[in-house]
Amino acid sequence: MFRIATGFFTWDVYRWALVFFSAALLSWACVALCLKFCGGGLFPEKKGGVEVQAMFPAERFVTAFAKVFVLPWNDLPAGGLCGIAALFILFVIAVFTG
Amino acid sequence: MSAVLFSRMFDYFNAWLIMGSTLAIALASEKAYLLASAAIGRRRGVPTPERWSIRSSFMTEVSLPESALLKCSLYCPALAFASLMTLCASIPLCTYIAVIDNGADVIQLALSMLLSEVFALFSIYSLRTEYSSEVARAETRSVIRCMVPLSACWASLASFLIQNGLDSDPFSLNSFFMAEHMLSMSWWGIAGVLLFIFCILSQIPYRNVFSGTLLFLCGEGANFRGAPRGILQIWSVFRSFIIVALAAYVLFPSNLLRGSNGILGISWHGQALNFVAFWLSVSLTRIVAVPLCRRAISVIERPLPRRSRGALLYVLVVIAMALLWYEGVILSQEAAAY
Repeated sequence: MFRIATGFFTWDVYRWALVFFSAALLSWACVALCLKFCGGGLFPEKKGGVEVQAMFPAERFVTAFAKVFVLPWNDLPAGGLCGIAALFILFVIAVFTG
Repeated sequence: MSAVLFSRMFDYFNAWLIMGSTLAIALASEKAYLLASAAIGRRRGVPTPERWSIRSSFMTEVSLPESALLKCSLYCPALAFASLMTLCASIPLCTYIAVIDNGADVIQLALSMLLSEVFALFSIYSLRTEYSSEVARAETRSVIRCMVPLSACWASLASFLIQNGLDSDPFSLNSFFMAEHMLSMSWWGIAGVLLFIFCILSQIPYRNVFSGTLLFLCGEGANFRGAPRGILQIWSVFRSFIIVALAAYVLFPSNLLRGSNGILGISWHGQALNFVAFWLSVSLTRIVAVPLCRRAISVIERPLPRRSRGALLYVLVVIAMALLWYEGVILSQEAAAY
């Protein structure tokens, strides 16, 4: 099966993904069933809700980073797919050169 | 072909059963702790918050604050919980039937823990209220304070094992049974290991005495209700329980129960006994030892000035690392003399 072996550890991707996706499916089904049977007052998503004051340096960095690099992609059609592809390429480069 | 497929599916089902029972043990021990602390508080006349009930958190209707990002705050808790399950699947003694790998690599464990942390932080921040960002900050701070002693413990145990002349992988959790090594260690090394365990147990992420390891305090943040909140609470309880299990694993005398020929050689009743003994000791540690360790470290911190109280943990970690390092020096001196 598909494994990624580096000098430090062997990552059994197939088995990991099996556990991850089945657990995600279970808990997603739990949330979806609760939504269906118990209902709920969900508000529609609004652009730019309450701006939370960034306090940690990490928070400030993430908001600044998102403003420049992430949010413009949301306006493009299929921007999410481009982002996923870019992350995948970075991941492949990291694994196979490292 | 179909027999192989069936036996594989049966193994997989068994593994999920065991993981589910681990989750149930975690929730039961948290419940027991909450009941005990509420009873003690009532006896002392301290006002206690309302009870946390798992069923009612899933039976109430889902509601999010007005500013929340809808998809992210609904479904990121599910992803956080899923990556915690991969962490659970790679702990030895949790599943004898190898779902991922029974001798999990500690780097892999730390990466899964960080992944689930990131998903949980996504979902908390995506509520975009003042209360949620406060919770997220407290969460970040407590996770950093817990992960530092944990990773320092793993790194120094691995370096000690390398100096001890270990054949197998020093970063595998399977070689961290210190109970075997402790028989041949001097008091310096034993004190180092115990100090590490004390540091980790005293920094288990905790909101307050009456809410235990729950992420949101009972009765606060009332505009976030329903299944996502329930999953986040369960996630937080289970995460703390797994950290307690990782710490208890180092001290657990598994060689009393294990045969000399490894995991596969034990009979099924031996395995069952091992499983019950291990998780019982972990839940006892959660209920009794964790509050005691928190109390102890707050007593030690009290005479210090207020601003330098947080630094005490890091001083203790450095002392423990130095003790284990000194043990390694003693060992290599003995080896040289021999």
